[in-house]
Amino acid sequence: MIELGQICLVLSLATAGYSVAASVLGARRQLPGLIQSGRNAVYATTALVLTAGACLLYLLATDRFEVAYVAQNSRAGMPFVYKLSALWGGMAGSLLLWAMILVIYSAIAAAQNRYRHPALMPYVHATCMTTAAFFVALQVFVANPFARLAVAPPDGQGMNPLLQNPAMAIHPPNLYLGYVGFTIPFAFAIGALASGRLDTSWLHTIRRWTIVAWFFLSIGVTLGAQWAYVELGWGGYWGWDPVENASLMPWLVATAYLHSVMIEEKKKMLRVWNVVLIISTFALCIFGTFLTRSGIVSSVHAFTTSNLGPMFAGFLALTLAVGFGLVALRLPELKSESKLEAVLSRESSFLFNNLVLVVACFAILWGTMFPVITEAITGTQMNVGPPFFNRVNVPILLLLLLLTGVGPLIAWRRASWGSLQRAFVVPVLAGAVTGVTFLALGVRDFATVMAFALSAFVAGTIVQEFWRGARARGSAGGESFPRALASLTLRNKRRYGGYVIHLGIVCMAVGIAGSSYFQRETEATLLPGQTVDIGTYRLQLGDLDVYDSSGVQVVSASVVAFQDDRARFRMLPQRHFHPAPNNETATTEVAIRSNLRHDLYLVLTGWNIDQGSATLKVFLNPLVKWIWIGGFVLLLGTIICMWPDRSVSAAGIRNY
Amino acid sequence: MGIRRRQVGIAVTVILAAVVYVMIVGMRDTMVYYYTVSEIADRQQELTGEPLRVAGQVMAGSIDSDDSGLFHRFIIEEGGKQIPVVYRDVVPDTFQDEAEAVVEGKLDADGTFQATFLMAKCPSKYEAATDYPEYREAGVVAPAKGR
Repeated sequence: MIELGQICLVLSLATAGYSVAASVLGARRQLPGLIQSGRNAVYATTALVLTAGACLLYLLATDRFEVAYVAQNSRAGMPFVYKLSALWGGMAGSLLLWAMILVIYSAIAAAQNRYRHPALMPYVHATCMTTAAFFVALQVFVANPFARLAVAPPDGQGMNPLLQNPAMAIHPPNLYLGYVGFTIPFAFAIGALASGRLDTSWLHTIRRWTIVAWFFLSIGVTLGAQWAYVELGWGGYWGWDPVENASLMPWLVATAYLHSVMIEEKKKMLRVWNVVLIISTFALCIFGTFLTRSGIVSSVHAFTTSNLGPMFAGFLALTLAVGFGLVALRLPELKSESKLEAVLSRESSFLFNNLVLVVACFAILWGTMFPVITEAITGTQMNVGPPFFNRVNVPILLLLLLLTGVGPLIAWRRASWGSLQRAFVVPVLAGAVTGVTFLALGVRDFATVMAFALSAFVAGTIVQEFWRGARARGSAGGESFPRALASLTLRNKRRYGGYVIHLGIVCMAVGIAGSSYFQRETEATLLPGQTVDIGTYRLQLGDLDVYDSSGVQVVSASVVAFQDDRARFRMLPQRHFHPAPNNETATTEVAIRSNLRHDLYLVLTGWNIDQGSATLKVFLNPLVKWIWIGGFVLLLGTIICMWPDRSVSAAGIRNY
Repeated sequence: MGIRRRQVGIAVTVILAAVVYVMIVGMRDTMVYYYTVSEIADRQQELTGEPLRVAGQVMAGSIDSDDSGLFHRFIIEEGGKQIPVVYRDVVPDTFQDEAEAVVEGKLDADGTFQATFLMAKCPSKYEAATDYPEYREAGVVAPAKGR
């Protein structure tokens, strides 16, 4: 098995290389046979990489500790599921997973388009296979998943208990499905640029790919935040850690692309910009992968420095050089005739949307790379942390929120005053009323008031759009309102799915604003029976228990929450001590009581068993649940957007 | 047409200028020098009272936490030098002997680092690729206790 996996990896390097050569040569010399051969090589590479992956899974599943990777990431006593998830628990395995997902995507793209875009596809294959070759090369030459140990140890080191939960287990593959997914749109962009076929037909083909990749990346970012909140116990969900930022940056640029491509499809404008966005998204994905593994910036996600850094930097440089080089080459053909006509127009709104998203991404990139930049320029390393990111991003994202309301409703080309009134009177009123209400409640933080006011504004625009649309359908077709809503959405999936996504963003904005500004925090050391107050709650410490639960030692504090002198519920903040092979690992098990208004969040920070006393850190986090609700609504909206039209599937792939 | 495009151009410039301004102010107000322990130990006098970020390793056996879990003393070491640290908040689960740690805060007059932020590296998910040759030489992973 070990040899099989090893051989498959090396062979896949060869087939990928062949595919690149055959595809490019076949395209340049117009040799369909060679192109076909290149495509077959894509399938061959896919089979080989997947076999290698299956081998590693087998080795993990059967506790083959003579393989260094298995010994480092797995342990005989671990639950079977986590032995399998150890596939992506370490460096080499995660690279293999990246490659596996990439080849699957490449094969699907190849099969889907075997009768379409004949001029582009060879370059698409070449791009996909070059990327796959890179990730396989990293494994063959640097981080080999099949490397053996001189002596097979009796047991492995196992996986950190923090990683042994379902959400954390699924998090990396989820993120990779997103990151890797952006390779395909990038490959098509290269294909279009290299072949010179710059009409918009390939935009249709990559639309679903881009949305699917964006979908998984959105899940990844949201789940990451939720995991940090639930598992890490510092009361927050986003620390602006470099690895967190690495997942957010491509998301921002991809979001920009998803919007501006609509302008390109409708108005044939912004073609250069769109291609630049696609290339940048992919480059940021590679950059994120690089950041996470090279250790050039210190991060909570500990990835020790490795010599992979320079290779990633090299591949990134290649990507940017080829991508932007081709753009420069094709610049004359890409420039559009249509021009922006007015500041108040949908085109402008989308342009500002893009500007804001790209600028936010840049600011985050700047802050994340600040230590590296300052060291390179001044010789001394300097850091910026959450205060910087929050200060810079809050105004940017508020502006984005405003645009989210304005963009979909404002007229194309040039919005007349009358059209503005018709569209915005009610939502602006909703926003103003909300803003005034918060001011009246005593909130003096400008950003918070604006966040809620703008959220109301955007929600108003969305509700208005659904209302007017359904009313119009209902009166025209005689449908009842609910049915009209449904058929409206299903007939215009992209538009109304988009509105649902925006609604999700609004929920998240509300959740973020609420939990940031209105968060309360307190600490107390209590003896049994003593209480501490937070908000409307009075928390009373009961028993402090120490017990064993399948080998894990648990210290548990029983806390009863009172409201209005009535006992409402019990919470159990805990600390768990896991018997890891080398040293004990402790995890904090936060107790969270969540409702729509707020989360009551309890951390057991210390205790004295003899006295039965416990120290609790207590947070009251308002509106946090709305962040997760918003995430869910966003996903729902994305699914609506992705849902295929019946007419398309009936006609078959050819009319895609 | 030209006038309107200029309006768009002006709007774009205004937004960009505003963002750059916010970034500059943000940097100026929040940036901290990042030093290793040995670099600070050499320059202790001049760095006292300055906001600093320090990287090092938690000295084995130096962690002294009180029962509340909200007050911790430990020593951060690197390059042969050591600095005592005081941290008054919950420590992350990854904080333990010999963990790689980053603290942010200020050096006080007696040379103790008053930390307002503490980050300890997760037990490594990704081993350095260069570990493999040594690994093969050493040959054995430490055996599990009492299994």
